[in-house]
Amino acid sequence: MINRVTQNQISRLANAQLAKQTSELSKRQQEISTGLRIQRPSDDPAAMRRSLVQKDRLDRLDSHLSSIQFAQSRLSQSEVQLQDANTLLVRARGIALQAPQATDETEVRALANELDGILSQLTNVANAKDENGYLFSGTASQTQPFPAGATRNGQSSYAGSQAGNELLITGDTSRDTVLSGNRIFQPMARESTILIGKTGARTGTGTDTATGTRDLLITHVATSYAGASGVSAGTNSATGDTIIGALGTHRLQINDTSGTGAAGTLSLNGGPPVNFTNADTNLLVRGSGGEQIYIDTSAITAGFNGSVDIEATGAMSIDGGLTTVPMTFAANEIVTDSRDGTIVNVDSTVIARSGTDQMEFPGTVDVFNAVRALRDDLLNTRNLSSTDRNAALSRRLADIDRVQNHLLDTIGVQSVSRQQIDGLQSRTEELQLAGNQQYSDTVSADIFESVTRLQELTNLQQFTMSAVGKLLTPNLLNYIQ
Amino acid sequence: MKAFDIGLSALRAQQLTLSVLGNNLANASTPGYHRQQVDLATRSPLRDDTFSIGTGVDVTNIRRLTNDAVETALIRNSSEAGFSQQTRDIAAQIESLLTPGEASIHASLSKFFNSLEKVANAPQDSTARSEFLSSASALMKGFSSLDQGLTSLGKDVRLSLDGAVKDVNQKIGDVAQLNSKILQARNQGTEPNDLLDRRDQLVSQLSEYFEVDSITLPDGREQIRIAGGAAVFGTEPVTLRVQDFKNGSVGIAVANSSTAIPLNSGRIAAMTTALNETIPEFKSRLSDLAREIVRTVDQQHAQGMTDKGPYSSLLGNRRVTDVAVPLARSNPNFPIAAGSLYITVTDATGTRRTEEVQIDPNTDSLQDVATRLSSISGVFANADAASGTLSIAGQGSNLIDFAGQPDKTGILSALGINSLFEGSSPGTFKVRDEILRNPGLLATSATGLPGDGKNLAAIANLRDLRGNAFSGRTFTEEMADVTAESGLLVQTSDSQNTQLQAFRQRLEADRDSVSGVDINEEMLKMMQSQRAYQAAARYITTTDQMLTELFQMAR
Repeated sequence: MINRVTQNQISRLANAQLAKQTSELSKRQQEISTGLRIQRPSDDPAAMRRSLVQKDRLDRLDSHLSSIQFAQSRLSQSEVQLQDANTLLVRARGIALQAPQATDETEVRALANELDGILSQLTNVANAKDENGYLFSGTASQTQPFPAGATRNGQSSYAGSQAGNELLITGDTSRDTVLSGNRIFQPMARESTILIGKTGARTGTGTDTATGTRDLLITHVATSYAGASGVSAGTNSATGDTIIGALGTHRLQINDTSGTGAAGTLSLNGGPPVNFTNADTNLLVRGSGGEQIYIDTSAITAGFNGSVDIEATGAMSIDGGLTTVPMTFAANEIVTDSRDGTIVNVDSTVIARSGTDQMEFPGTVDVFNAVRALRDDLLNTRNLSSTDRNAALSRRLADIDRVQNHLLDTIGVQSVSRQQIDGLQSRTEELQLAGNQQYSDTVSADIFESVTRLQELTNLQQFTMSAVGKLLTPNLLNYIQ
Repeated sequence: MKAFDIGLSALRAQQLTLSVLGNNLANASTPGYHRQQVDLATRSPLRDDTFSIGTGVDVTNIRRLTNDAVETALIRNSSEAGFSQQTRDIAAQIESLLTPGEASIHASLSKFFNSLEKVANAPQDSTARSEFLSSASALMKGFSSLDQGLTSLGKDVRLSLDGAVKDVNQKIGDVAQLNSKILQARNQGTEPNDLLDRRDQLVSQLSEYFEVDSITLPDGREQIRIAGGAAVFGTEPVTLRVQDFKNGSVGIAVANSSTAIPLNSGRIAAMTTALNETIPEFKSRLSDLAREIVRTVDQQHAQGMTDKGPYSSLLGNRRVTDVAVPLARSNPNFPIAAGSLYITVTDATGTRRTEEVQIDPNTDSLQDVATRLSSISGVFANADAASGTLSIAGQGSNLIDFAGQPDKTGILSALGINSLFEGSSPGTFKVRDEILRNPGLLATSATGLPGDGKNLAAIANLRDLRGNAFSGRTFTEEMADVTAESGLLVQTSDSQNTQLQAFRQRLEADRDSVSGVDINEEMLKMMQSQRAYQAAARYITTTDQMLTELFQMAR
């Protein structure tokens, strides 16, 4: 203990104490004013470090919520559009059910017009856009996914991207939001190919890749006659013959009634006999089924009576004749569409005549084509027989059912995405709440404690000043007279 | 007349005592003043035949009352307090630069990554793009501002150091002069208390700048030692100067010497420590952070495409010093590792092919890289010797990009190919002007489609990158760490200051208990002295009366 204490010392000590108290008073006053315990890093370096990381986390969660809300907004718009599309397909289905009974031209026309309207509305739905671009064009957001009138082989052309939209949350896995238009409106659930026509072509064994509908064009190439009958292909044979088939598929019956080859009769596949002379170089002979050949009998063997096997080669095309595949009369021949590289498999073993067959690829018809094909078959643009038309309408109904079911599935998928994103939102909000609490615990001042301490310090300061005043006031001078 | 002599000696002694007391009272609150005390002693007695009789009183000395141990401790305390106070002042300025707020670097960093996520989810939103570019600019400006702030702080500290050394030299001169006067006084046989007080006060002031102590040599000369004797002066002053060393550090040396005085405490040591260590360390950490952000962001940005798809040409904006020497020796802006660079060429039909280019920075020059790239069909690359940059272009209708496979070499960011930022240091980093002018040049996608923001999402994911650069810390954590570090420096200095202050108060109390002037005590002594003076006067009067009586008897 120090026994000798000077006035200077008392005053200096009081000064130091008052400065310390004032400094703490100022700090407490700041705490009360701002509600914050940490004003600068030195107030609590460790807490400041924590608080910065926590604040960043909170800001980040805010940003996540903003991203989530953006995705939700787009999903909501997509949901509304898809519900509209579903409503339109429900009506199209109704028309498909009604179609076989519609025989009256006016009624058929009215239904077809309605289908045109549905098609137009469906196209509008598929091309819906918001301020960020087209909803259903995937990541090619500035490209109209289904440009009006852009079709290929009966399928609407999809110009968007294969990849759909995603919600991209930093540090988290991406989540699907709005699916790309082709996944919604162009479902693929390929079923067996259907081939309608009279050429004798049948579906092959391989898996086709062509979609929608195609015309299978069977063209005649050349006709040749076996044996020593002396007949040969007429001058119009290449373009005019309609028979196609391996040797023996078609047969020509020759009766040389003159015995010299000068005249006689010819019959194709048991068809009506046609008179010939040795002056005929381009004689048209029709078969029992309407098939025809052009024949040259100028060099017919004298006295030839009998049957001659015919071989007629052909070619197949599914791109309108742009490219052809020579027919080998095999069980599976691949014909390629040069325009898009898709293929069909054809069994050409029993092809007997040239012509155009219709190929349908059930399960590959898109929403638009399903409605379009329904309209066309309703109007019977393919001139199908009544039976074929009804069968086709039935298939169109199945198409509509399939695309509608797919659309409903898509709505379901989008709903699941929405649900997951809603869940993510809830989780993010919970994290935000917890983060806020954590951040508040780190940086917030205990106001009650601050106020109490402020009062305590004010009292202490008053006591200090009062004590110093008392200590310094009495002086020996006061007692010296 | 012996009796008069006795009385006179008492009168003189008390008069002197009164003067000393008056001086004490006058200097009661003078800083550095040590109270003085008059030492009285009885004069040698005279002996008569039987008795030895006193002859009065003498003033033998006027003494400064000091406690040398405490004085030394106070000087040491002053040096240490000077160091911690100066360190605190500098640290507080660094802390101010780093204090988080609405527009601080922390907010900018957070906003940069947040707005990246926003653009990634809505790449076609032009407002989001502008916001992102604005946040990227703000981030770079933030780093630049911090760098400039620290540079300015360094300059300010350096100016303060120059000023401090000037002040120190002035004080050293004054001390030397006083030492000279003290020696002169001692040679004249007097103890120069007031000179010693003034000198000690100056030494105390010097001790705020560095550790210093004073000793009195046996021959009465005073000697002042700086930094434990690294520099010594007495009556001849030494001149100190600020020395810039070749390694870039700053120190204090005695004029005519190139050796730094090893200072451990005091303001000057704090300033040199700040200039040589603290400020460069903060600058370095912030620079590393900025560089790592720019490097990683640019590296990822280079591997994306705009929403228009691949590029017809790309021009690097970062240079090497020599295009003909291996990359490792041509000072690329960022390190380049050996490995494969993949470039994708898109032809007129949209067919894409990805080609691999092997790069070894230890053997390949930029020219070699250009040649190798040019050997790829449809690609032309040129290493410009004048600018030291690389340009790559698709030949004819071919287009190029680097989105095919990740570039592990880091050459794209090192050369600034299709980068988001340009510049080479925190002071020069900024968002590329072309991108600011045309936000469409942002490499948002990995596919070139407008709704694809995956490349930006990949950049945003860098936020969680825990690489080796910061011992596994993310960018945010590193920034928080640097900030906390500045706070810790202030807090540590504050804590030392508080401790030293408390210790100082204790030492001052100890010093004042010996050297301080207590007015009441001095008043009492004054009364005592007054009474003694009165008594002496009465004694002389009485003696005079006795002698008068005696004279009357004789008359």
